[in-house]
Amino acid sequence: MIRVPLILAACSYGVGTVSGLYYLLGRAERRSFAPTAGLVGAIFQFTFLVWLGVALRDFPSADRVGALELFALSLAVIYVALEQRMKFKALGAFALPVILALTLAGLFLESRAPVPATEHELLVIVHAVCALAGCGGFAFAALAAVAYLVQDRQLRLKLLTRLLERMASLDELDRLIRRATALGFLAFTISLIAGSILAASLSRPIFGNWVVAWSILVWVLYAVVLHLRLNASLRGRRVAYLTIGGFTLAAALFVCLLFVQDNLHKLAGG
Amino acid sequence: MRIAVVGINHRTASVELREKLAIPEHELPDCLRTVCVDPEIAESALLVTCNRVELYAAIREGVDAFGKLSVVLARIRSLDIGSVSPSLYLHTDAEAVAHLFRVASGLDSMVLGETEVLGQVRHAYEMARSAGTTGRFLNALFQHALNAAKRVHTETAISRGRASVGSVAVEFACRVFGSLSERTALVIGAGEAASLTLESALEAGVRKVIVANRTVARAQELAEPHGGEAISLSELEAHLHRADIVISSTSAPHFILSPSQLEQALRRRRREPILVLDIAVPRDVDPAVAELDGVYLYDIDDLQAVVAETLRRREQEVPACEAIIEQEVLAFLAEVRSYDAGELISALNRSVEEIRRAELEWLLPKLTSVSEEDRKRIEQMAERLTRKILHSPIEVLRQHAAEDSHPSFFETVKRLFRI
Repeated sequence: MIRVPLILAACSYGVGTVSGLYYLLGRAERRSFAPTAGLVGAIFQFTFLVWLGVALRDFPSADRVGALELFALSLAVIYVALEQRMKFKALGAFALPVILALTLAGLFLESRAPVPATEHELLVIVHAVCALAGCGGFAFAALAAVAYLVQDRQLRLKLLTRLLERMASLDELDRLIRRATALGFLAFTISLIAGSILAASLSRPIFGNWVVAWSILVWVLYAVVLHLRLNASLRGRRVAYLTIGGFTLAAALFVCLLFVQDNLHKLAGG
Repeated sequence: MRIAVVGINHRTASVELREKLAIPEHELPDCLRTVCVDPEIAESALLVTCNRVELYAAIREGVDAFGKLSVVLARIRSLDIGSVSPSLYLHTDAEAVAHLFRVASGLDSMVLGETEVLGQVRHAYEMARSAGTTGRFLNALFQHALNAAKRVHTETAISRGRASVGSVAVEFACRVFGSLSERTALVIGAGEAASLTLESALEAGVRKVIVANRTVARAQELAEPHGGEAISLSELEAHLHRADIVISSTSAPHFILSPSQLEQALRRRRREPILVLDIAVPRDVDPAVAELDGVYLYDIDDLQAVVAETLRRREQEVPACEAIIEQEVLAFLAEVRSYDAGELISALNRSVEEIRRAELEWLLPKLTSVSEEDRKRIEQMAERLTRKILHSPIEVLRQHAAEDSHPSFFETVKRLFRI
């Protein structure tokens, strides 16, 4: 019963995905329903998370399904907000398939018994939410990077195709990559700091832990990308490839945390 | 009443003749009123564009349309009819209607599917209306034409895509930079092709212009009207990094821009992309430049290929456009027939009403012993009688107006009732 809103969210995202792809690739001049479907899906997903939180009597990220759905919801919210602000009406064709896949994964994933709350619950929530927001930012940067590479390829084919016309300009995509990476990096940094304080307060060693090492690797990679962008003028396809590479690392870390419990993250129920 | 059009366009007349026949806008109202002084021309409108001069008119039945309108058109510009006549074309009735619908839809334009002519047709109609030379027929004709063109543009892809080299170049620039308002265009060479492409870029919002030419004076001529900056070709390398869009069109027999120059410019502009439009033949830009990350190079063949593709796609839309025009022509003709039928019905009613009144005037004075009430009954009976007699013919007339009946039907009815 609790998963009914999640099924409805998946259906909305499914409709949005089809509409977004049809808008991007179809021949006919049709309006895309992807933003509306994304908004409706987000509302259902939020309902599910509230329901889950009440059932767990904890923040939804305490459960791995909750964490996954919270991540999908953060992407959906960013997508709807961006769709309103940007002229990039085909963004749904890139974002909604990913959001749909995450939502569906949550439907088929088994819940884990949540770990009892600690006295540092607020710090746990800050750590989890910022980690998810950071991954959300990196995900959007990667989606924009994929769109950038598609647009770059279209421009090099030298044809004014429908696909080319419906995509955002390279300049807009580049700005989206930069902002999403910067925001993701900021959130990820806060998450790492909160996690370190949490580990210290619980007297848990953080050195030698594979999740910590992996997280630092992701953080360093994005720090290098941002530094190169700001100081060494790294732009274009190279930035796009690096952004996609960085997100692959971050996503792999997130997926591993959903299935493998290391010593540190047992306390967060992950 | 018949609708006719006589005129010349880019297919039938040279640009010299089109220039001679073109009427300045401020003279149009007077010209239109002069045309309508002729008692055989009831309504008129003049469509004057750079590619055509056409006189649309509603003329009386039986008038030699070509003879009448061609003379009128030549006389407006004081031209010898013999010099104009071979280039003139005439369309009458349904053909004239379909012609205007095609013109308004851009199907008769030099660039198939262009939308500028729609505004020109609207303007021609407004000029004629404000000059008071349009009536029921031309008002309906132009309104239907505007409606037909609107349908053609919205229901088909006839106006989709870019159909000029300049507009294609601007579209590529927009796909790279989004808004062009903060962008700088560097024009290398001050020839006509570069100037035309620059015009398109300026229309799309480019604000800053740098013109590089072998002779700085010529560069200044092109740059100054746009508040731009003129430099010599030897300074090109020093200014290249400032340009977001490079338009190159020199007659140099060798490459003006090399990959190393652009690589250096990219470094100086912190790898911000550069769009290079090489519209020179032979080319000014080394094709190897396209390999650089951040450089988007388009030569004249690339741009013309897009234009050709757009026009090919538009050609494919022509049958769909013609189908819409056919529907709209039929709708217009039905409306015109309903005017004819309406006029005929009114005339028929008037004719029978006169007979009724005459008969009552003959009868009533003779009926001295009849009461006032009975007189009224007799008048009512006469009225009911005429109404019932006319009911069936009027129904048939309305039916024929709605259908595509032969025009001679109305003539037969007129003769039958001596109208």
